[in-house]
Amino acid sequence: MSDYHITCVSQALSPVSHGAGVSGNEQVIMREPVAYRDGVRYIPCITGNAIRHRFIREPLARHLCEAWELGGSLTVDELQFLFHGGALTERGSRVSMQEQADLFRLMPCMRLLGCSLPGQIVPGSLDVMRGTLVCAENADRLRQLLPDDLAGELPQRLRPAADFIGRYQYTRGSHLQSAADMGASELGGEDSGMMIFSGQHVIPGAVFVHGFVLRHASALDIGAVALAIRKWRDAGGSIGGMASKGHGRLELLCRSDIDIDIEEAEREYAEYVRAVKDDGVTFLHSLFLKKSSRKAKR
Amino acid sequence: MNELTTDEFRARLAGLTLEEHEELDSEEMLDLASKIVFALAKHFNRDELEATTLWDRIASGITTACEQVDNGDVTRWLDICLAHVMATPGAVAGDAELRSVMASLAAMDDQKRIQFLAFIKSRVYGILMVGRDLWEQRKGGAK
Repeated sequence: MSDYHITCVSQALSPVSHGAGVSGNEQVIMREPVAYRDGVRYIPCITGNAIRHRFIREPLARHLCEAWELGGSLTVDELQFLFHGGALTERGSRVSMQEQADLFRLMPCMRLLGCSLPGQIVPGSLDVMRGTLVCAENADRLRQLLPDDLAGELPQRLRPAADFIGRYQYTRGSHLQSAADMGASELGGEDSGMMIFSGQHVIPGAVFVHGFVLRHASALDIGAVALAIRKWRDAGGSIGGMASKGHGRLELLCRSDIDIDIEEAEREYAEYVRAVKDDGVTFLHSLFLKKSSRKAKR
Repeated sequence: MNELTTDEFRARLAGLTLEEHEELDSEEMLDLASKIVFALAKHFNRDELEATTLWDRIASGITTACEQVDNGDVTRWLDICLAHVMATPGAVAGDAELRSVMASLAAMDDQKRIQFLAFIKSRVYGILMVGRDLWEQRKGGAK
């Protein structure tokens, strides 16, 4: 087993609305403070957490659900576990090596991503880099983050981050809107319920540098990451919010130092997941059965 | 996975670079913008428009012009502003100071004009304040 590095460059094909909250009815994008030559600047970024979820965890959870035909049979706790990593729900900490061994054997994606079983936290082996905007304020950091040949391509005079921030405005309708169109007098002349909502986004064309480090990775781990990224791309390849309105589409370019056949590893992972289906489904249900049966006893 | 090569990376960076000639001195831009605001106040048609709407009208004229012009065409931009305050063509044609502002704008290259309009678009309130100061200092001679 070795450590592998995947370097990624993603260009926004549509506005990226990776939000950090709202101010009034205006969405504010995620920014990170960056020390720059004349003080601290707040630069748009994509958190590693968001990349981890959208690029890796969600596609692998969906794949598991499809391969194990789990549709309609999952509890809320199981869904939470698969799609969000779960949460400690049992009192007192304990470490069960057997449980961890079963988890790693039957659900290799959890070895990669880490998770929280009802009674213990299991760390993952995949590190995800934050999405760093290619802009003047990040130039020095990007030269450190990128491989030498790519760092050498960075121009001396990048645009400042402010040039990559745009705004959107949409209106949200309601039943009153169409009623008003048809004749509001019947409804007592009420105004339409149209509401304006707006926010910031990172403009199309902006470029983010990010990446993954697979620590002590097996062929199955590599296959899982490759399958996840392919599924993410096949599903539209988006990040952040408002994907339903066309936001967040990315064009992803990758390079890695992986020295095995990635497509073969992906096939191997998919076959492995199918092969352990029966044991895996039983294991998954047993993890959460314990908790509910204990509750019933109380 | 699509391969990340130096050529591909270079292609993605093409639009992210600041050209050498792009940086305009912000004081220079503010000075020009305040002169334009002064000219709009001077040519505001007080016969046709309510005098109390002077600054709101100038602000909405600037905003409208910025929305309509995104290619650095400053002549068109100024035309929209002047039309918005219902300036009299004869008075505009005879305004030597406005002609000097136009000459300064004409001397800029395309990128600088785009940058100038972007500067104005993002600082409407600030420009109004500076322009109004100029107006208050010189309005006796302007009317």
